[in-house]
Amino acid sequence: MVGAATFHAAMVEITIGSLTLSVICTIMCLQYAFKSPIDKFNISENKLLTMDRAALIGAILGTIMMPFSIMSGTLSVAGDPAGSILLYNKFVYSGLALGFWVSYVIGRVRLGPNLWKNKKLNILQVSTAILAFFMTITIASIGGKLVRNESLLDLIPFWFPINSTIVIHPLLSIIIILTGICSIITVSKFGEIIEYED
Amino acid sequence: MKSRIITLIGLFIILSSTNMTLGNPGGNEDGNRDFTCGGSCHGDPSLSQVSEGKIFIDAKEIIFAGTAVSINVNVSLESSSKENLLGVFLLSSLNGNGDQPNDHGWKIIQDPNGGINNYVEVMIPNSGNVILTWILTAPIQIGEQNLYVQINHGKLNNPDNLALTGVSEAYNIKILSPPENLPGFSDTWIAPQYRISGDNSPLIINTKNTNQITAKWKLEGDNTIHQAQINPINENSWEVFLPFTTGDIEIKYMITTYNDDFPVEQPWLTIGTIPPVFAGSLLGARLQAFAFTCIITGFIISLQSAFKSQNDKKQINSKESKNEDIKAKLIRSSEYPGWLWDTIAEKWIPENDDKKEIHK
Repeated sequence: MVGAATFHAAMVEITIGSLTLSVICTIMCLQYAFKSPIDKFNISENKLLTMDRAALIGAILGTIMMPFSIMSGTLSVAGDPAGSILLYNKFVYSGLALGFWVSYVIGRVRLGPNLWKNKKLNILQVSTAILAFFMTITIASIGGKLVRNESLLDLIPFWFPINSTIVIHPLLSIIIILTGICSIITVSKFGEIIEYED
Repeated sequence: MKSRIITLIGLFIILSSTNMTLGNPGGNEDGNRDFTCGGSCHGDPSLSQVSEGKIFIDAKEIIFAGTAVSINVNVSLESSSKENLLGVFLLSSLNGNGDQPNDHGWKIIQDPNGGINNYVEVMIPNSGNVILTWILTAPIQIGEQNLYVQINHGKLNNPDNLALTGVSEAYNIKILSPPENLPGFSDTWIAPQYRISGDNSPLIINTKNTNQITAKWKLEGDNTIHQAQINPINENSWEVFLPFTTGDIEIKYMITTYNDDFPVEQPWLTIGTIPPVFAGSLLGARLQAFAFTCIITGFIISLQSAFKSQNDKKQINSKESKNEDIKAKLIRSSEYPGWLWDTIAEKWIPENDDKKEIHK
């Protein structure tokens, strides 16, 4: 019998690997809008197109695998977030990371590869990917803290707080969920109509 | 024949695996344990070795029955295992069962780690000197009692994984009949182990034969002694106000119980600090995570739409201004209806052709 912890390790490796590839390719895509002043560092249009596709595929795979990582992690860990700030933060950061990666994928699919040519959209997309990646490795770091009481991020003098957290009342969480869903529906259904009328 | 070989292999495996179960190098947690536990793994001569550690017990040799007494234990070690862990038992006999002080009428008010156990585990400092204090209530039975201290530990360069063990000499304590109405702690009172960080609610002290108490306190490692405020709740029940603590600060406090003018100084007790109890729940964590997912997604998609809209407007404006520039180049004249004067090319062009020009 294979335990949930083994599945969790496999899921996490796929997720982190895909998302690492995605964030590296995304950073490269900055060159669509911001050419390097040194010519030899500039990447050809074809290579940038490949980077864009790799970033998208990596992000899609990572985003699909992330809920499986969260579920297998929940099953494998001994304990309850009720008694542990670290476990609670693992949930919270998972939610944040998933939010950023979903936004990244939706943005790229909705706006197409031309989004990279717009400076503001390019910066927004790259920032989203970087923040998402930071959240993702924070989750991995919390995992290391829980299992081995140490993580590679201990070497870094500052990082997102993982030993303290903000607990939101479940009712407030439900209100935030509804607000978020409403804003997503409004933007995706009526955004184009508003743009058209403008 | 085949079954004999299987049996022999089975026996070999079982015998080989015994080396894996030597003692508990990583500790076994504080608890209430007899000498049997201390003796079983650590006591087998083939698995253990006598510790060279020196054990000293210091306590009042004559005490009154039912009064609080502090038992100070000093252990000095020359070597310890890489875990640096020392297990210390406070025992009332070395029979192998019924050895705990509780079995002989003693009651542990506080152990060196703040609990109420006769076995505690402590980290050995670099000096190799460990000082521990148990606070006990003496038995009500009058007579003589012995106390023993047993230590268990490991050592470096220990290829055979031998467990080291040592037992002190008996420390004899005479228990006398107490004077009538001797003030002291209540027989049922147990010293609290911790307070929550930032909590300044008073300690509740229960006493007997007491009509007044005073309390002194000091921070662990500090010699400055302060007087605590006392508030009587009812007969033999008192509130002692100690300042709130944060982090891992420990406060030592000493109660003096009075019966009219007759004071009895009780032993110094310790109270630690623990972080506040975390109020999160599994459902709360899941909802909060999903809430963050939704709000972040909503926010970023809105930003994307806003930036896209700005970009589209910019593109439309630039197209319109281009068209206006072209229109500005052409002048209509009433003298030549159906014709426009192109100021750049300086020639007349048919009016219908300007639309083609604009759409180019």
